Amino acid sequence: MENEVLHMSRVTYKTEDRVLLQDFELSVLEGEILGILPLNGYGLKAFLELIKENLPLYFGQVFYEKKLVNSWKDMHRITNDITVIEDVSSLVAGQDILSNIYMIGKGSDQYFIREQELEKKLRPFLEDIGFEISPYTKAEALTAFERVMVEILRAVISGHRLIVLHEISSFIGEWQMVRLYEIMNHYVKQGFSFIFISGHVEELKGVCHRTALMSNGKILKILDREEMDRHLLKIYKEGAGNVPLANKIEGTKTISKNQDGPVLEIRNMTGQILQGLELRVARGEYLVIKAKDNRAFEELRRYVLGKSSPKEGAFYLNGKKVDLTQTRDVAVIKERADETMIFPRMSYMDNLMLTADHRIKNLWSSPSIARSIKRELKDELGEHIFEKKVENLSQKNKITLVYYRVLMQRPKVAICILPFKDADIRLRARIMDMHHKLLKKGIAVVTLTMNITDTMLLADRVLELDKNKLTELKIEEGQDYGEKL
Amino acid sequence: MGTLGDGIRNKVPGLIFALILIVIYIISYMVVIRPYFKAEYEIRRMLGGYRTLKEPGAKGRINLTPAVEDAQDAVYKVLNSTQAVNMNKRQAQYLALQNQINPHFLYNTLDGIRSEALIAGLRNVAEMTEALAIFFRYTISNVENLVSIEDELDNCRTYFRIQQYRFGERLSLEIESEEDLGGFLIPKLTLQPILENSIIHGTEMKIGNGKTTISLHRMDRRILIEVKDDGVGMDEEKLETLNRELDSGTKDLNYKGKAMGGIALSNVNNRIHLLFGEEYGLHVYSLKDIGTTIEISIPAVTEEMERRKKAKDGE
Repeated sequence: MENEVLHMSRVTYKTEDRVLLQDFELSVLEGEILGILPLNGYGLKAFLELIKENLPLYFGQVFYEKKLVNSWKDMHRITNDITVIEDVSSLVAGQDILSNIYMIGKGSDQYFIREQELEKKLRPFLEDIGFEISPYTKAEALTAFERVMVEILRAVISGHRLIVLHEISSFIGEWQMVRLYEIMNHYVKQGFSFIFISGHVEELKGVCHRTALMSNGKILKILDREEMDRHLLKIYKEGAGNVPLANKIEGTKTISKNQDGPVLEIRNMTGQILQGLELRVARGEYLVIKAKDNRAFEELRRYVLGKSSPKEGAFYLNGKKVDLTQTRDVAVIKERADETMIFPRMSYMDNLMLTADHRIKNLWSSPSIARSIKRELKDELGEHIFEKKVENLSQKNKITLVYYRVLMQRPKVAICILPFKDADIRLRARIMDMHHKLLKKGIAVVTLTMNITDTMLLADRVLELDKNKLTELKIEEGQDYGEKL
Repeated sequence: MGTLGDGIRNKVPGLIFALILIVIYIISYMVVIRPYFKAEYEIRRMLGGYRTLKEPGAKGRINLTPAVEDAQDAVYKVLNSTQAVNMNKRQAQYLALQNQINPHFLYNTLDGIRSEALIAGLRNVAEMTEALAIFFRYTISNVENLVSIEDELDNCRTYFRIQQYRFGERLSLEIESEEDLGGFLIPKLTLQPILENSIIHGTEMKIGNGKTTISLHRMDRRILIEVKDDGVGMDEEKLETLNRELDSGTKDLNYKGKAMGGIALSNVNNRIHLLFGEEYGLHVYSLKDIGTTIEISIPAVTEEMERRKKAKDGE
């Protein structure tokens, strides 16, 4: 007999007139890692809120740990003992690990805090998974991986039988993911269950017993490991929708890369973590910088965004020292560009042309220029999109707008920070397509990422960023993403 | 002091009036407004195709007026009557029965054909005819509601044997179960129509070999049967429509069995709903070019449990 930890039976959930989940049928078994592959992100947030908070249903029922916890017939509004781990920490800053697990979680039934006793209680759990950390470490001092581990421990100690991991690989590195899988499997053997949400097919097929494909607030199909392997390309095609497929993009090898000299350099960059970092980017090159050490990565990200300056060293553009935030020759595309790089009060055209006035004379004063831009781009962006309110655009259209702005700016280098963060499979295909467009214009693309899977088709070089060095990872012929598919 | 006391005294009637108003508002909200909106919400859901109507006297049912209560009872009766069960059961029988062909006439004829085929040395024809006779015997006779899962699986094997004469090695069927669940009960003619659907709309349309797998799982409070094919699948829109129809039961009074190439999934689903309640039934998962899975959820009921229930009802 199999036990269902969670069973959502024909659930329909709507807010006002928007149906966020429809005829949603899903079961998670005890001791199972169930993957969810969101082909698009629609309804995913509602799903996460619903399983935890038991929001009022329009129709259907939800069972958790064999009990009916939510039904369209009755409103319970009790919360379920389910832990959801995402990129935003749920630990309380200023509190150490012990307090976060035992005081804020449900781990302790004591009124008086005896830290030594609590440490004694925690020790076996740490040893059980071979996790070495001081229980007195403050929440804000934890690395992303350590924070995830503490949240898992808190869930386990609090007796939460279901743990949801949402897009973890977007903020912790690949070798840490391998460690995380080991720990998940360790707890699975103890009867805990996981929902592992990821837009990366490769991740899901490696770790999940079954994977549910979700689209527009519905579960389309549930596949086992063997089916995931067998149908990888079809799943990817289904996900990519109308966006040109990654494996249809002509190889970037056809794009000429200027070997004369580097367009962008980092020379002897030294800060708190980084020590004498050196980097050279060639014209038209697609360079991927993957984080091995999260703190080094974060430091480099701050320097790129101009939020702080290194103690020594700097960025150089064509041999001249440059402030990346002050030049149009370098475009920095921030993470979650749809939120961080869109100006909702400005029109679509103003957003589009914002950084192109150095290239086009009388851009703002001549309506004919705007008309001709519209004519030129209407086939690619859609005829009516120019008149729409920017804030009402879809996430995909907002991100496309940001990339077209960069294309019009025509920088020499585009630095993309975590471009695939929180992007569903369809959006990732679009972003990959946009990167390819940049490369075709001869713009070098530098992608700072935690996960290299998406970038493998286009990457010329992949560098792994450790504390003080960048190590080039070998991309073997025939091992790129397209070939894998 | 006297002025202050007068002031308070002057305000007392106003305060009492305000208090009465608040009490009236709370009472009218609890007794009139809230039930009204709840009833409105449920009726809208019912009109949206969901089976939201609760049985007469059920806990949580909202009865605005005696007339509304009577109307609800009447609608509930129509939707849940024995007639409705029988109608769906009838729909779950083949065209032969609908055309009122005498079943015995059919069996005798098939037996005759089988004998003739054996005499003529046509072994394949004889076996095919035998399979067809077994299939019709099961389908047409004993129109009881519940049979064992094993009987249903046997009927599926027979049906598949018949189909194999047509498709040969192109089709394969696998039945898997981690434990013996054959003794549990299932509405008659649940699995075969779904298998038929899977072959005709799934694997038959596929280029190359097709495989259908029936897998049985025992959950803590229900039996889950998956009929999975690796056929052509369907697009998201079609899948949505199909699941919508299954959840809303909109097809039950509009039977188009022939057009659907056999017994419509919605009929099987409706019978499960009527026999076991709304929380059980069918759900379809599908992805284009990958295949379709039809999940059947029924309560874990054994013959013994059913007998005890009948005895209790009889008392």
